[in-house]
This record gives sequence, C-alpha cells and structure tokens, in this order.
Amino acid sequence: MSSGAEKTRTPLLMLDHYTMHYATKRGPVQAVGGVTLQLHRGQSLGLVGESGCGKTSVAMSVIRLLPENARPVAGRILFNGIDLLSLDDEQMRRLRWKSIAMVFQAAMNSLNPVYRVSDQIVEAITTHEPEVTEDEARERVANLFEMVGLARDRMDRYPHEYSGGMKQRAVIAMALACRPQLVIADEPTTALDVIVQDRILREMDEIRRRLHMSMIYISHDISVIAEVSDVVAVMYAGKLVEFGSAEDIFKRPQHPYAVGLMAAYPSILGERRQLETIAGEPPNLLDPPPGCRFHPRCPFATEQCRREEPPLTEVSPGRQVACWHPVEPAGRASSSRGQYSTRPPHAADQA
Amino acid sequence: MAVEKLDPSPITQTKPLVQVDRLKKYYPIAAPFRRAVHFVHAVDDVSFQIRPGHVFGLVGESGCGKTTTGRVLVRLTNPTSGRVLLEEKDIFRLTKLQLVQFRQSVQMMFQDPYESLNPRMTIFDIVSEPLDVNGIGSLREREERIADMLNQVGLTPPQAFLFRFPHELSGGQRQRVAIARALVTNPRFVVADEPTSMLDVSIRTGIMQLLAGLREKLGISYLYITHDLAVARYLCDDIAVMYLGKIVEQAPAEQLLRHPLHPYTRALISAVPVPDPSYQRPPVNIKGGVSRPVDPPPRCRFYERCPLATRRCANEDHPPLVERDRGHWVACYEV
Repeated sequence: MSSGAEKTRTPLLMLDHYTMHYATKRGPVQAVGGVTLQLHRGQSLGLVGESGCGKTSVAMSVIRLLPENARPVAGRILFNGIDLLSLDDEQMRRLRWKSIAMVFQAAMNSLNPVYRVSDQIVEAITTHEPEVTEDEARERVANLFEMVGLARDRMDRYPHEYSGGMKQRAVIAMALACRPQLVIADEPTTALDVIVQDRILREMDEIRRRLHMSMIYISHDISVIAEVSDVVAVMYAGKLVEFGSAEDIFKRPQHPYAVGLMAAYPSILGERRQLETIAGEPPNLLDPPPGCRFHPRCPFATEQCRREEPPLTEVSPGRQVACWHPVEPAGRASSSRGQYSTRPPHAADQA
Repeated sequence: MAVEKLDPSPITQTKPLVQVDRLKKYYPIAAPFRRAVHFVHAVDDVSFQIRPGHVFGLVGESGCGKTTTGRVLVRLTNPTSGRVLLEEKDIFRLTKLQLVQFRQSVQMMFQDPYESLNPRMTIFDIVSEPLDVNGIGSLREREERIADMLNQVGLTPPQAFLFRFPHELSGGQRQRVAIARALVTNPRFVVADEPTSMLDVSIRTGIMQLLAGLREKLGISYLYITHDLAVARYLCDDIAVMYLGKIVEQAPAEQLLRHPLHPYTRALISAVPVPDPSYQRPPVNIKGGVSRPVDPPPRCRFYERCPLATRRCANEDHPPLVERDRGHWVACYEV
C-alpha cells in the first residue's frame, strides 16, 4: 500500500463515468460503460477481467491509442486535473510517452527489428525532450538498461539478438525513458515463462516504488494482479463491477462475478480445493443484457437485476461494488469460496 | 551415458498403458548445403510410464522438450532413438492394421482453438472427420455418435451446434469442439498440449472440469503438457518436470508441489504467482536464463544456473533419476 497520505490530494488519474463504443456495421459495441475510478500518485492499479471486458479499451483510452472506430460517448478522463478527451491530437502527442507511457502486450513485436535498441530509445527521448542531446540520451539509455537488469553493453545490439525476456526489459526501459508519471502495462509478462515473469514483475514493482510512479497493470491472470497491485478494479462486459484494495478484492470479494473469478482460479498454495465454474459465457456487447450485465450468469439474480442496472456504490471507504445483492463478507473469514459453492447447480461435476 | 538409468516409474500392479523408454529426439542445425554438425537435444534420454486411467503431467518452460515428447507419443514426429510402447507394442513398429488401430486409440488436443479447427468446415464435419478417415460407422451411426459426443462435452443441444462454423463459437466452445473431435474415436490415450492456456479463467475451469470428468467416465489416460503448475495440480496424478530435454524430477502431484527436491523444481514453484496479496513468495534462487540445448556438455543440464552446483556436478554426467521416496524421483547429486 503506497500512498495513504496522498489520497487527500487530487488523484493522478480519474475516470469519471467514461463510456466508449466501437462503431461497427452491425451497430455500436458498448465496450466501456460508465467506468469511474481513481488512481493516486505512486499507486498501482490492477485491471482484471476476461477477454473483451473492456480493460484494454480503458487503458488505450487513457493514452489515446484507440482504433479509428472508437467513439468516446460520455464521461471524462482527468489526468492531473486535465480532461484528456478535450485535448487535440497534437496536445495528446506531447503528453504521450512524456507523462503517460505504455508497455504493450506484444512487447516481442513492439521493437523495430532493423534499428539498434539503443537508437530506438534515444529517438523516443529526443523526440519528446528536444533539449536533450544525443549523448545525454545515450547515457540515460545506459542507466535505464541497468535499472531494468540489462547489461549496458547490450544496448547497441539489434532486437533479434535479445531473448524474449530481454526484449520485454528493453520495452520497459523504453517506457521509462522520459520519466513518465503513469505507466500502463498491458499483459506485460503474459508471453514469458514464470521464472522470467517473476524477475520482471519484481523489478517493475521496485522501479515504481523507487521513482514514485503510478502504474496500471492489465492482466487476465489474477495471481499476477494480486502480487503487483495496491488497488484492483474488476471489469465485466464493459462495466466496472468492483473496486477496492487488493487485500479486500482477493480476500473478501463482494460482487458475485469477482467471487466467481476468485473461486475459479487454481493456486499451487494451500489445500487443493474444488474449483468453481461461472456458468455461461460473457455477453455480446452489441446487445448487452438489460439491467445488470452479469445477471444471466449470476446465481443471485433477481427480477430487479434483470430490469435495473446496479450503480457503483461505495460500501466502505475506498470500496465500491455495482450489485443489488453483494455477497456479504461477514462470517466467511478468509475463505470466500464456501458460500459460493453452496448454490450453483451446474458447477459440481468435478470428481 | 556412463550412469545406468533406473526405471523412473512407480511400482504398480497394473501394467502401464504407455511406456516411454530412453526417448531421444535431436534436431539437426543444418547450414545450407552442409551436413549438420550441431544438434538441438530437444528430448534427451527421457523415460516414464503412464498407467491406465491416469493423467501424467509434463511441466516445464518453453523449449524444455515437453511438446516434442508429446508429438513423438502420437507419432507426429519420429524419435532419434528410444522406444514408445502402447500396451506393450512399439508404436514405431506397427503393422498396417495395427497402425489403423493406433490412430483411433491415440489422439491429440492442441492449445489454440482458433488455429486448430478448419474455418470452412461445420462442427459436424470437424467432429466426424476422424470417423471418416478411419471408416468408422454408417452415416446414421456417425450422426448419433457425434450428437452424443457434443452432449458429453457440454455443447447442448447438439442440434444447435452441428451446422455452425467455428467462427460462430466462442473460444471455450471451440475448445469443446476440439475435445469432442479428439474423443470421438474412443481413444484410450490422449496427448493434451496446453488445451486450457488460451482460455479465460471462468471458461478454463469449465474445460478443466470437463477433462477431469471425461477421464473418470471414459477411463482415458492423458499426457497433459502444460507450463502452469497450478493447472497441473488440479488435473494430474503425477507430474514430471522437464529442463532442457531431461526429466529432472517426477512425483505424485501434491508431493511434488509440497516437497520439491530438485533446485529447478523449487525455483519453478516459487516463481508461480499466488492469488493472495498478503502472501510473500520466497525469492527465486537461480541464476541466468534458459539456454538452447545445442550439443550440451554431458554434465548436469542445470549446472550453470544451479545454486547447489559442486565440482562433482561439473565433472560427472547428468545425474540419473533416483527414487528418493515412494514414487518420488529426482535427478540431482546434491539433494
């Protein structure tokens, strides 16, 4: 937990009922629906959810690297109090990388194969900070390499001379090149083996604390999110369904989807408990279900859930849930699983 | 190898269904117009047994040889040396008739349900293809069999899926189609190469439960290839850990996770993230990264990265797998 004292100040990033659609021939895909969340300086936010839940769309909206057909429809994205949606492309371009940087999902492919890695990072620096000379930039790259655990003398090599883990480190070095206030990491270690993943996550966490940066981690792997996040936002079908400290979300989830997600996840620690499934599949966002978007899969759904959409409501300080019938945390101690496993009629076919 | 290899399989009453015996697969690295002088030792002297109805997990990082081992076991590639016995018959010395039977009783499931299904074929055609190829049943019988199979993998009602195309289905549904296709010939042995690693959490659990349930119901044995120890824990009876072409440790699943002996297994386990924010994982205690096993020296494959390495490890051959506890085998001089 980083910044208890700073929460009173304005957050670094604030999404305020941000809604975004993708225009398609078959109609608008309602990818992000009224997401509200805050990220403070020095904090790390984990965005979790399954493919198509809108987590990458949220992140790409912040750095504004969206495809042509993306249409922000409502809401605001405030960065240091400035509404990013009101900036023109040129203003946004100046902010991008200098203040908000990104580590991409396919980091393997985000380096240009025909340029030396050092040249690519030097270019990023001199483009955004024209006052920096080439030599100063090279020195900065060397320092960045050390910071991410790469040998200085590797910087003048070409990407194909790097292993997958080394490319990932180089991409992280590039994201840090202009000392951004916010780094968005979209599945930064998904393609890597666990031992390499472990090192890179530890290093990123260390660098974030040292430089007092904010981070948004996006991952479908909730165990990765558990390890690197101060606060966690759980998304489902374009909606933010639960927000709170990592400790709360993982130990005492209250939204039925968050509860189901935790119960579905295998761990190598502790007792080998039964895994639960969440019946059904996520909805088509061309035509999301009315009311709560999770109701067709929810074991607690009532008539109200089918008709009315639950608002994101603060249930305790710093903890928000969008559900008419949040799962009561009382009496469950550290295990969130028992209660969930008493009902679903569909889930008990494992031997 | 100077050191005689011990039989790395638990003593059992039942005969093994699959017996892999000193399997090697080397890939040549050929320069154009030259004879290959360097070899990648993808699988290097691997032995294990799979009992009927059991799930044998093969775990390791990319490039450790786990997929190559799986491909040899379904005859997608030939071994450099060593034998693979299915019900005591060498699968590389089969008569024509035996080969036909082999193709029915051994099947493979692949990782990516977006790549492994032909986009131009209907679900009916995809699932019935193994029956067509093997000439099993009349059209009527096939229809019944396919409907039954779709029911079993949870694609119900089957009529709603039979004449759809893969692109109309979600990832989880596609993987169910791939499972139906693999099981439609009633195989006794299935090689499953990471069939859940591309799927989302809530969908993945359903597929894991389906595989576990079908194994109970149909008595199928699996070789389950995965990089994910947590998934292996839920599906496998035994887990073998591979490193650069060698099995370095093998034990019943819980035993391996709770009492790992080999320094590589320990590192691998401590590197797995845990979905508990207050849990502090122990540091991963190994150096460097995985290299490619090109003409590796005879010593222990893990020597360069090992925190326990001694002069003996440097000078002697790769250590043999030795049984340390009932069913718990480890290849290391120092544990």
